Amino acid sequence: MPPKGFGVEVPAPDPCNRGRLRGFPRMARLLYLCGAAWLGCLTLRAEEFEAVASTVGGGYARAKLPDGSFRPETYTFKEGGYLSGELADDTIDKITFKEVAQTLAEPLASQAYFPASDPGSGKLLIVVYWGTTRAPTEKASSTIIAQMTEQLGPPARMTDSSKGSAELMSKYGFQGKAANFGARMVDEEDARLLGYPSALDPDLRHYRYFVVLLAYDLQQLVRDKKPTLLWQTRFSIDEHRNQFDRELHLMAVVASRYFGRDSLGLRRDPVPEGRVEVGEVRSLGTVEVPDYPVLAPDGSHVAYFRTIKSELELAIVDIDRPDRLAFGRVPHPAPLPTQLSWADSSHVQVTLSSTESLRYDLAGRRSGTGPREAAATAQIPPGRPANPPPGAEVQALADSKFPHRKVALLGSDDARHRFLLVVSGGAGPSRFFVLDRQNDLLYEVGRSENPR
Amino acid sequence: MRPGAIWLSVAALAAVVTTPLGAAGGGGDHVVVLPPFLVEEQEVTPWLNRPVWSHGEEGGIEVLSACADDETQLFIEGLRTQRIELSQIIPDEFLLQTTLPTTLILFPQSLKGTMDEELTREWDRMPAASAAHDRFRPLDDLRLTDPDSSYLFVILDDAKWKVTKRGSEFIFSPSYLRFLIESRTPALPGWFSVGVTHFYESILLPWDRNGFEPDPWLSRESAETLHEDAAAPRPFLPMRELFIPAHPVGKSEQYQRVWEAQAELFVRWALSGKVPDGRDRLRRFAAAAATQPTTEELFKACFGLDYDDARDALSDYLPQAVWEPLKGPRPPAGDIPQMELRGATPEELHRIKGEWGRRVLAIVREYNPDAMPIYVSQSRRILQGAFDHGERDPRLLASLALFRIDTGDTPGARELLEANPAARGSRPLAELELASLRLADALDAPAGPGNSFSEAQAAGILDCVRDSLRQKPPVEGAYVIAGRVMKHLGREPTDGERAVMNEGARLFPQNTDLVFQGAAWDLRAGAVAEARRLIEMGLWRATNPSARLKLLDLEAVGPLGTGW
Repeated sequence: MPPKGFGVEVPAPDPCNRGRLRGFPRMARLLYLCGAAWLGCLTLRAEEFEAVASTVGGGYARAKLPDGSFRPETYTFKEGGYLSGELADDTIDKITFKEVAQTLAEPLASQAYFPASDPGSGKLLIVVYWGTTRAPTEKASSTIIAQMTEQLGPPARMTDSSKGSAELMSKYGFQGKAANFGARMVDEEDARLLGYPSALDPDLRHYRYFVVLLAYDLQQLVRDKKPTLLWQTRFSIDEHRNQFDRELHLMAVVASRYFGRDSLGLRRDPVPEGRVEVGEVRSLGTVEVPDYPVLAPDGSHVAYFRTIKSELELAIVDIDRPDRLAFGRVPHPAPLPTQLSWADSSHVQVTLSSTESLRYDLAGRRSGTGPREAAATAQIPPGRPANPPPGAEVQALADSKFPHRKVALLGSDDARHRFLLVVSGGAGPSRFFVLDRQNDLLYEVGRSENPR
Repeated sequence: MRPGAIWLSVAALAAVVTTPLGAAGGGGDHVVVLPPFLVEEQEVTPWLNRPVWSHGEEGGIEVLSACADDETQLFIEGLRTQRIELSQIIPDEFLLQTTLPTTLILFPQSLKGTMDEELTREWDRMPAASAAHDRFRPLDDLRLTDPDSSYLFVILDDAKWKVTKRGSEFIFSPSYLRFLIESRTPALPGWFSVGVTHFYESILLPWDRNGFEPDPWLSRESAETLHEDAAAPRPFLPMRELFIPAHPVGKSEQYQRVWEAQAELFVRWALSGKVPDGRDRLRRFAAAAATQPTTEELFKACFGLDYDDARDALSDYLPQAVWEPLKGPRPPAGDIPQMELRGATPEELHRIKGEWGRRVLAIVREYNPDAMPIYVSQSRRILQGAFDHGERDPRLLASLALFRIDTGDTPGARELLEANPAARGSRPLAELELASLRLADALDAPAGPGNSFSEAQAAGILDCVRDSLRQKPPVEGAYVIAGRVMKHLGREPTDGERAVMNEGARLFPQNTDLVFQGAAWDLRAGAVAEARRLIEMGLWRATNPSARLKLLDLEAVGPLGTGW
């Protein structure tokens, strides 16, 4: 079951996430607001990535139904604990475990994990920790207490439970240990607890909101008094510009694709966009910001939209020199771009929701504005066939390079040497590639910021 | 077949000179004139000291050193330590194993004036050529490799050592490591040797403290871009194209660069700790890929991922890899025992210098044939001179016999080898040369019915082959000779003989002839499953169309064509 809100332009308020709109596929549909209701808060946020690390153990594997979907599993929540930072932060300090649990329920359900009707009958006991990390200057060196509690906190790696955790589990005594767990959130171990391999990761220079889910075999625990960790997922997001109570749901949605699966290390997935500050919101309609790249007529460049530091930017990539990235600024907040195309091989054309269009050169410099112009190359949005339709040979070649994915051709250069592909069907968002037939090379040029 | 042809072809391939030397004085695409050199001191002026040679042999290393004992010890200790450390990322089983020791000739830089003038000149030209790997100088020096053993000439900076009392931090050069990996049998896949070698180039010693530099990816610029922007575009190959058996052929330069960079990234990813038990998974995967076609099923069995998920995971890891140094695994603690060094005996000096001079001949013959008479004469003077003085060390005799073959004196070589079983037993190559000579005899005068070999003729050859295979590494030429004998037996091979052929096909699946013969004999013996495995592997490794066609033709006949 997909999370509520996806594909819905104005989702109904959620009891757990009062006062915000959420769940919009980023870039795919953005509210177009005006009038008194416009608060200037249509937040095309900074290139926001959520760090997710997930592992499985204890022989755990998801069973599948004949239709390929996951066989539902039931769980019972247990509060692990909340780690408070040194600084007051109402967005997390005041949130209760109940609210956290309610917010997590929907993303869990999207992966076919459902609450058990009887708390003792579930397959899983999901222990939830949440909180904030501390900036390096606030971190104390490891203390004996912190070292002692090491075995009480979630293990950095999926291992069989230690004595400490057995004791811990014996009475579901997580609550009382939360503070110790929190005291432990320092230095290298701190990094590993969030799924980071190293405290040197630039992400960790800033405070981060985090959630850790530990899923134990509940029946074994009840029967044998032996805790067996089946899977764990750790996800975190930069506190800067974010508020925990507002972000928790989106954080969980992004992380949910790894629930019960091995992420093979730390993953950084884009956080869905489309957040609007509280206010009286009147929807006057929607515009679609292109969520796909476009290939230049000569096949040398790709252009696409992305958000950097809260602003929508036009990225222009030299395919043969991917290190040569150029960016062009797009008007913000409105009017929004509705179409992206190439005017010629040296100029990108951005059609706005107003009557204007903008032109950018390959260095990302605005080279002119004017009325809407017909694009030199018609770029085909995902899901529609390219025109002219690509040969079956190209499709077969593209398919062969992604044996377990769905590959759609979006377009090609004029010489039909390079083809733009969208590849979907994996655990993460769709990815865009340029297939260079002459060199038999694939270039990964971006990915959808739509989490589904 | 001409006597010795197998060995000569093997020798031509195996007489490797390392990259810096090959590039010395080059700069263009013309053939580089490689240095003729010998380990024989020049007549020196009286006020110059002649080198004093010490000798030691232990643990697979034989040392002949003109350096101070403590400097020699330090070098040996470093070599052994790094070999142990290396085994933390590359299992020993993935490196060349030889029964014969690797011989190191250590020479102090301050005594260069006593060396052969040509060698001195070449040495002086080397630093510029080896600048790219100047961190790895010692074993990037001069290496002459036969299929059964290696000789390395290393010049140590004794002046610097006297001041710092520190040895070389980097002893195993990437090219030497690559040589050790690529000489392993059965051959490991190309992505592994390239990936591991490139990964090793980023080593920071001592690695238990510093580990490895971040992944350089395709260029410094591309790495910086990915560091700054994890979503930056990147060329990336599907895993199926990464896991081909050898370096990609017929692809663009850009494709090959991506292939190499991605091979390194994959190795780094597996060793980074991102993959639970990644080192073991990588070991299992590479070992299996050396003996069977690499399939997605095999990969999944080792890593638990399909190719597409692995590609995504690897691509997602890239932005992290380009900024994050990796810690090296901590090597097992323990003291490295010192090698016992003593003054080298004249016999040892003659044997090692003579063998070095013999190995040089292959280089001289190829690149400086006009100088051959001089160098043949010098080598003869050392080897034959020692023999004439009554020295009978089996290894000296083997070197002399090989020298005689190299210089066309096959009767003299045969006489020596036939009369001295210990000599041929001391070196697989000596055994194989004798086998080759006996094969030539049998081909000239087959003594069996219907122009086939007699059992005695076959046994005489195959005994030498079997004896050579008792030592490591197995030499491809041994199986080629055995295959020739099988063809002329006049009977079906026994199960034991067929097992030898199958072993050769499994160890050298890139040799289509060996695979073809092994599978064909299997088919005749009704061993369909074994034939099928060999053909599958042969097809996987075959790089040219005619070789593939040959195997496909075999696949299409008999029980294979109908039953599988």
